[in-house]
Amino acid sequence: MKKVLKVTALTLVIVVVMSLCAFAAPDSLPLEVYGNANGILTVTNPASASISSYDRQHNISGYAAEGATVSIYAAYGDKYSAIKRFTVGASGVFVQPVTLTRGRNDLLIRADINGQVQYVKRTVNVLSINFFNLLKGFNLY
Amino acid sequence: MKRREFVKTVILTLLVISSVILASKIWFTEELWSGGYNSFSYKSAFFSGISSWFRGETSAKALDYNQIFFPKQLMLTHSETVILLNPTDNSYNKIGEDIKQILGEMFEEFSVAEITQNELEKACKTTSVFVDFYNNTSFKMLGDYFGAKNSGEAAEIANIRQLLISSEEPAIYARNNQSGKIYKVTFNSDMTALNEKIISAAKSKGEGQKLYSYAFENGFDVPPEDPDAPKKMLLDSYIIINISGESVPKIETESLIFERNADTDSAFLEIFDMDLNTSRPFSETDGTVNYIENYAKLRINSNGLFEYDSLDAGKGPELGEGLTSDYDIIKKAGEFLEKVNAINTLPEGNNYVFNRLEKKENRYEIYFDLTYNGIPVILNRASGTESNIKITVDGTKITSYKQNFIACRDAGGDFEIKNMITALDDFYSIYDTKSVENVKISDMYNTYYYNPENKDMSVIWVVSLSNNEHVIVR
Repeated sequence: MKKVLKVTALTLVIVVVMSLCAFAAPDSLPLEVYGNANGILTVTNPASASISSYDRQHNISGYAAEGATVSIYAAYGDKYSAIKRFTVGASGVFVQPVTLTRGRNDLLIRADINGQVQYVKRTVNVLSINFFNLLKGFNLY
Repeated sequence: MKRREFVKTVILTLLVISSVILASKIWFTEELWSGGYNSFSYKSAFFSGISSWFRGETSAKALDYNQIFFPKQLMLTHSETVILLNPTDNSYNKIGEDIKQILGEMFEEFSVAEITQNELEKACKTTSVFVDFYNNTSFKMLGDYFGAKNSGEAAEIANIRQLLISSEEPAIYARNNQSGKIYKVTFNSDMTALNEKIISAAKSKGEGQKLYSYAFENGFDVPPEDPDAPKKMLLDSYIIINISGESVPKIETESLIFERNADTDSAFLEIFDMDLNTSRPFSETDGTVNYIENYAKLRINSNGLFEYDSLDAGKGPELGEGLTSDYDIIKKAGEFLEKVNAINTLPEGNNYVFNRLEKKENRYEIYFDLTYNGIPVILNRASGTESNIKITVDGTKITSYKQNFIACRDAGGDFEIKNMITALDDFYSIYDTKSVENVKISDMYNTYYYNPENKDMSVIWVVSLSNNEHVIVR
């Protein structure tokens, strides 16, 4: 009887820990990731897959399902590393300021809720001041 | 015999004087002709002007520019730096003075061109100041304030709640919220002082996180391209998204009429063309005092609420002649308000600002808010929210005046203000956004919120919708 109880308790602990690991957003992700859902994440800023800006300070904005955990990752080497993580409220609206580096910034935005995961990729090229002078008429947003 | 003649002369003289006084009273106040017409009363302003000159009275104080055109915030943009100034910031008034001067110069000579939203969005990125008002105003009203003769040329630039003033070139951008048309107004002016102030403020701030941005920069003003995306209420393109956590001083109220006496009551009655000697006063158990005359009622509530009501639309204090424009009415109502409030001087930090004018045929309702350190104090009533002062004008007569005679003072400590995104979350929790279609969020701002019943003071977010609803988020 004691053995049965021990095995049951151990199984319960393993299931709980594993489920937590499965649902929590990881701190790092490989460069190729695939979600299993649609309609739980919309990134409105940057509005397109790749934009150029002269501003290192940028806002990542959009909508996500109420209660979803949204994580913002930046690509460093051969993986994405988490730079922001937050839970979205009833409006679904989020605005998160991030500080980018000059040059190419590959960002990955991930929303997960109830085991559903959606990814959106964005690239922001932060131009140098010299570039800015050259491209003054460039549409930056 | 001589003594008898003297007494008769004195009596006769007194009789003549009293008949002149009584006759003049009838001439200048009573309805002498059918329909209530009395030509003498039109001259009364002339006589009262002379008498007030002899009494050493000055003319009614006019509202300042900042009391009529009161921006809730100014957003300065220079290069990559964006700064938000509230009325509590030191630079707010300095930049406000420059804006006033530039607007005055603009009305001397200007040209107007219609532009696209894309052009305005680009202009928002230039070195500029974005002036964000609480309520709609118009170029006509601004022009009337500056005494411009050409403000009619820009009559279509109405229903504007924001102005973008570019300091890189003398240009002002404005959008008509009803028609959606956007205008660029160019003129001749030296923008150096404003430009230098913006650049100096930007340099002193340095590099930091982007805490303030326009809704259009975040893509919250257009439906998402993704067909699977959840449907959300759109935001007006030029709402400033403020993600910084802020706080404002905790305040409490004090009554301004606790030191009421016969003199102050008499002064109030005189302003409202009532007479302490002829009106019938009666008090209530809670200390509220009522004065009633044939055509008017004045009630001074013990909780500070002051109410005047004319019992006949043709009766009431005269607001003035020649009320030809919205600005004239606001100006005159403001002067009347200053006259009433001269009896109880507002403590430092308190002020009145114009909120809005509502027109219904020949009736005008003019609302003013109490502000403390530049932040409006909105009243919480069972019937909904209220401005502190409401003046109703029928034709040229003030037929109703309501004011809560309170002032604010620091209570120590701070009220923490919810982050704007948190306020949006709370709005979605209390408002069924799916029940309304094609309704946008047109504005979001903070105010103090005071409940006169339980004297509770708090800070709230007001979410204004395009269907003219205002939702309170606590």
